[in-house]
Amino acid sequence: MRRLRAFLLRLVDPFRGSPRERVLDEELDAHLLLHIEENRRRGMSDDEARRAALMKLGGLDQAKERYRDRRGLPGVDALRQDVTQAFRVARGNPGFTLLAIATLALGIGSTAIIYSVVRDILLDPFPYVHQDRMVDVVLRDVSTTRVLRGAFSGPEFLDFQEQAKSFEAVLGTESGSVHYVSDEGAERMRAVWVTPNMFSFLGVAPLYGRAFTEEDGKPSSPCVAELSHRTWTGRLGEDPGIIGKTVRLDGKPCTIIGIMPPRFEWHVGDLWIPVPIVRSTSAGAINSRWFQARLRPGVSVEAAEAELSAIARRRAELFPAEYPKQARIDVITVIDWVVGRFRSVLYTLFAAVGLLLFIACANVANMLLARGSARERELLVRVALGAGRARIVRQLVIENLLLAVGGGIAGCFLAYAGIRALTVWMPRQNVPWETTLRLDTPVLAFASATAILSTLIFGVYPALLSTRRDVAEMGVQSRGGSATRRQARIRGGLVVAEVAVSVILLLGTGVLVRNFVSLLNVDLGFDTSHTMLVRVNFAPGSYETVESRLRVYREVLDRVGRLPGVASVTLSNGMSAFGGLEAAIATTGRPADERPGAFVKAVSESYRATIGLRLLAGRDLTLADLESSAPVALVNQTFARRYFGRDNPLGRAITITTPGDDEPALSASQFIVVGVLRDAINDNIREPVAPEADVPLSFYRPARVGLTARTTGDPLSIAGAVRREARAIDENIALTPPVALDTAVYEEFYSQPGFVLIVLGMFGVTGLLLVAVGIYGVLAYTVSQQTRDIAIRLAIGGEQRDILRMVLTGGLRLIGLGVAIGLVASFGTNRLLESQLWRTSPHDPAALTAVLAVIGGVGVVSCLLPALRAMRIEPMAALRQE
Amino acid sequence: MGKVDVWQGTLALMILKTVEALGPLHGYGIARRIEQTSGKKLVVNYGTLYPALLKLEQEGYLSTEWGTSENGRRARFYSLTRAGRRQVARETQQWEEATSILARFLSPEEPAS
Repeated sequence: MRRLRAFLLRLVDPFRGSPRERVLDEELDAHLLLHIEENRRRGMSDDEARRAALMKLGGLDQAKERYRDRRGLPGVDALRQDVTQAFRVARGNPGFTLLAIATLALGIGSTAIIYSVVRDILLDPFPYVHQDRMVDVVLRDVSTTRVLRGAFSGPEFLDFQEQAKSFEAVLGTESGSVHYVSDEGAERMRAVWVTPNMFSFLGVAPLYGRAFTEEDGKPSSPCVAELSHRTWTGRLGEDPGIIGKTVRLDGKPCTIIGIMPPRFEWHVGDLWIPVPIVRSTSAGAINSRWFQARLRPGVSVEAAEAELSAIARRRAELFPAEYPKQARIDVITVIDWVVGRFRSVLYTLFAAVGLLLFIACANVANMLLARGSARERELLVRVALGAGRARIVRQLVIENLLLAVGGGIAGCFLAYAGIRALTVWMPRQNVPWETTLRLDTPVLAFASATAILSTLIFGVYPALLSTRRDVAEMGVQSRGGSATRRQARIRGGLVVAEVAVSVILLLGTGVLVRNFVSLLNVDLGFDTSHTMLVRVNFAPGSYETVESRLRVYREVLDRVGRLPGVASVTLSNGMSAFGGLEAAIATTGRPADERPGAFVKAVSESYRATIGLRLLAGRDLTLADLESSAPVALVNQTFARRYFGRDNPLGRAITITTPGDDEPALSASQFIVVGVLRDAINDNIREPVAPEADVPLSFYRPARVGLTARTTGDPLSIAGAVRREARAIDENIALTPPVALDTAVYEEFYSQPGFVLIVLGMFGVTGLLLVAVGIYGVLAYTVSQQTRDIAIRLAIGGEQRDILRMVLTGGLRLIGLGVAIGLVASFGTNRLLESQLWRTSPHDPAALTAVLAVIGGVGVVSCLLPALRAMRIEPMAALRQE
Repeated sequence: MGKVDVWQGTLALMILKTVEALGPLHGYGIARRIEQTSGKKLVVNYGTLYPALLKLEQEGYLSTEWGTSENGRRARFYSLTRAGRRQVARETQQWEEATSILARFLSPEEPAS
């Protein structure tokens, strides 16, 4: 115990910072004076007394040293000295220190960020249990790979569920929209009907309230619903009293029994309602379900697919209509289903970040190698002076650890900041709704460890090798030994690798930039600015006659049109760029399309003007067309070309067939073309424009329309007023949350390529910076090593130009080699990007040229600085220094 | 007879015993006292004394405080703690046992009983 106490006291001594040294001085002083005095008392003279006392004391400094050794632990003390020394070295060369730390931070930070993104989107996106075994079952057309059917009818579903042995649990889900009416007013909500086993299947409990049970799902039980956290906190104002309240869903009472936790987004519902699956076919639309199942442990996706296919074949014999010839059962994991195309992008990013970490480590290694050789002599001198090798190694380890830890800390900060930034930019398309980005600490630790390890290896090992050499050798051989040459080769190799990797990254970025530009250059054909979209939903059962619908539409148009800040307003069943009714078209002399190939929109008379479409021929729709339900249509250029060729489409008759079992969405099918509109994107900006016909809104049966308003200011500023006007007309009108058209278009079409571009672009630019630093560092070091040679050459009449050329060629040879390797490699790596590209070749020549120019320019500049310095060497001064 | 340096291990006990006998004392006093007690046969090396004092202090057998010496100088005074007192007793007993055993070997004329 006593020993321990003493040990602890000694351990902490160096950090106590108390005036220990002064106490010791004072104590020994007092001792000396007491001694002198006593000597004097014995009759010595002053001088004698002092001399005798000092002699007796015997080496004051030695005494002090032994005292100090006892006071602290000698090891700890030396360690403190080493740390102080390491800080001094770091401060002595701030450029080197900052560069090394920044390089490490970039490597560590970006690796951690990107791995976290990959994990949160690809590997672990859902808050559900056993998500790795969760699968969707769909019917896929093998010839087109399109999904024919995602949902299965009750009997079909139950056949699968009862006969298949591959699954340990099955969930049936269907979603749709319901009219939600509470005391606070009407809302349109996305309802998700699930089998009552949802909670056990997904393994998520409600945040508040209770889960529903098998009992709640019985047909005789009253309707209950769970509410989504997003909807509760957003549209419903976080009303805590909502649990237990009864609301009306499509007119039928239903009780809210619970609120789900924040990340629960199963089928992105606002409400989840338990409804079991029954065999009866007349149970209505809700009875057809998506088949979601959990594989038994050890059962593969292929085995499940084979089993279900066998069941499906038996059914196909009984109901051939359900199974077209080319249809196959496809079992697909839920993660694949949701993430789909984004997967390859994320793997690309992952590869990119690995490369960046490599560049960062190579760079730091290079810098440390250069510094190591520069310090070779210093270390040899210390060895010659008797420093133990252990002590030198310890000091080197501490110095490099300081850099590595600094880089690690900065990297962590970078990682946290980066995750926050990416959360803002992350697209919602192709990313599970459940995804939240969180920093992955194990990976942060892994990246830090990699960086720290490489720093230590490259910082300590070469220096260590040099101290192993015989000290006697030192005087003879100061420069240009074989070890130095070997190091030069390693450094050169690292630069070549860095340049190659950087070319790969930059080419990837370049191609993505070109791709993004080509997306941006798509002519939408309409004006997205200052436009607000909102869906207007009427309570079921209301406005069933054409007259009443037209009346309420007119009132909406009039009231919203009169609002300040509204320039123009229209109602339609769809919006440009976001599709419409799919329809098959027939004209006189041309039979109907085999499958629906055209879009039909039912619009109010102000549609064309509000969206900003151009009328090329004929006339626009008018108020009279709507009020009299005139069977007239506007068609776009593609429509005219496809169905009338070179003939004049004006005045021609067309037959529109819209799918729909008993009651088609349009109340008429014969229309006369009265106008031709300029083409505008109507489905997806990556798709060619589809044929489109716009007919008067009065023909549209469903009481559900979209309102589009062109505003003079911020489009969302009128949202509140529009909502008030709608409520004033009919308090049961439900509006969806309004969006600005430009935002909607961006999110739908640009946010994913933009996200990829930003991330890969950051890598490209960071990589390039690091490479520039790397090239510069190596050449600057080479020049400093060759100072004497250069000075001699200059002294005996060498031309400065030759020196410049010599250094430049040395650097450019490395860069050239790196570029060549990088180009070859990028032919393979850019393929990874192919799925992201649209009308852009993965080997886009413009991108290639730009990248070569950039890397060449950066390379020349980073070679030029050391070369110029070499050229300006003063021969005499340089030689004297030697 | 030449003077001998105090050997390690025994110095601690001598210090403790001295402080026990004389009460709070400064380093110089302790050294003088040990030399005197040994009949000037021992020399206390200061390079040994102060680390030994520090060790005893770290182990909690001695406590220190600043005071004034007999001739009015500021000096650090060492005094025994309770643990120090117990340590003196323990060490003394051990030494006595050890020396009595050794004494039997060194004086063979005394018959073994």
